[in-house]
Amino acid sequence: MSLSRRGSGLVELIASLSLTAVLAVLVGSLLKSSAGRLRDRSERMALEHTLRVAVAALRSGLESLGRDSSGGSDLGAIGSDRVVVRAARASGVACAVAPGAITARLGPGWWSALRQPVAGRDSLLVDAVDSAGRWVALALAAPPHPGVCPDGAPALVLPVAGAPDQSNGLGAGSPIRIFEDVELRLYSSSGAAWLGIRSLGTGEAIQPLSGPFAAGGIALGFVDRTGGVATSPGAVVSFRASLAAVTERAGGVGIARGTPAWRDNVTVAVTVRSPP
Amino acid sequence: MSRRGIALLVAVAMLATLGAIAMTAYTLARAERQAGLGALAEVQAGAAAEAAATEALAGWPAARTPTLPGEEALLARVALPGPAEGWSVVRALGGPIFAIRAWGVRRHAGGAALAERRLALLVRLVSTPSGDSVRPRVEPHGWQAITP
Repeated sequence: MSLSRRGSGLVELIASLSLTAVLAVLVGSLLKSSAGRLRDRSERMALEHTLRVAVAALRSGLESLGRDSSGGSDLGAIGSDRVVVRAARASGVACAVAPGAITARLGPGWWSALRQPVAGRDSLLVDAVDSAGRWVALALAAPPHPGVCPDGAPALVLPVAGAPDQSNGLGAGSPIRIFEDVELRLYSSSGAAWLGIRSLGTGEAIQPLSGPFAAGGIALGFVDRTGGVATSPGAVVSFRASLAAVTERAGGVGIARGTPAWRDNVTVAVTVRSPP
Repeated sequence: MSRRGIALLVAVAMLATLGAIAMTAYTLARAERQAGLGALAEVQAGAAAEAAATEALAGWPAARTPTLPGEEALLARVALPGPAEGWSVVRALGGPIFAIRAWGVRRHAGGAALAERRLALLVRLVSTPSGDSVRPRVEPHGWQAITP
């Protein structure tokens, strides 16, 4: 009786250990594949987000560019993987113009800004009211300060270099654009390529805006009015951007190690809204 | 007794792990779907705003042009599939330059706004030969997308 029980116990033990081992292998492979798929999914979401951010940045930076004979072009330099633009930081309308200062009306519908204008970093474009299509470019000479319009409405006084006055054609009702020159370009860092942005006025180092991209993963093309390749910034009427982003796999940690990175491409063509 | 307890603990741990993975995958898929729908809604809202601005650029009766600084007049309303709607106004700036401001909103079926786009155009007004209506002429540097 006791011998029979010992033999039966050994068989049960071997069978249960075998079943446990089989189950452990099955569950392990299930966990590994699930974690791998989860990781791939999240990386592909990040990949799509990278492309969305890059397209939105290029579109918003280049779509609103304009040009006139006096204020020049909003496009400063063009290249296959870089562009220099006047990036809008604020906009408003002048209620008074005096030598050395332009007074912008404040309030909803009058003044909108991503941030406060900064002297030495930002400049102004002010539209002349006496003749069509003539903008005057002015440097912001000192920090803006609160003021009032001639009718008593709250205002922001923008000290400017030079001597803008009525003879320049600026006056009440002149639209104002506050802008800074920024560079958007592809650059390499930590073994990957990134879309970066930097202000040229401050000389700051380039900061990542979106990425990572494949090597040479940003190709910009600029088209002139005839449909040919634009050779100067002032001739650009549309642009085409081809972006190739890759997933980020820093370190390859976890049980999904070794899965190859994903890659996705997008091409966007945008017509400049205020072409020459 | 001891083996039954271990098996139960192992089974519970495995089920919890698989459940966490499934929940994370579901959350990711849901977030991805919402991001895609949001991007589509923004495009539809932008199209509605641009349609309203385009309607405004066709011109309007001269008598409707606002005169006082800050005064606005409604120019156009458009409805697009989605549903999305857009409208545009002309705003006097106190001089010969006016602003055409356009809004576009993509709404949920229940009426809540899913996405909104705004844009502004600086224009000068040109009278038609008959003089009873005006046509706007867009200024250089005059187009501006406004982030809500």
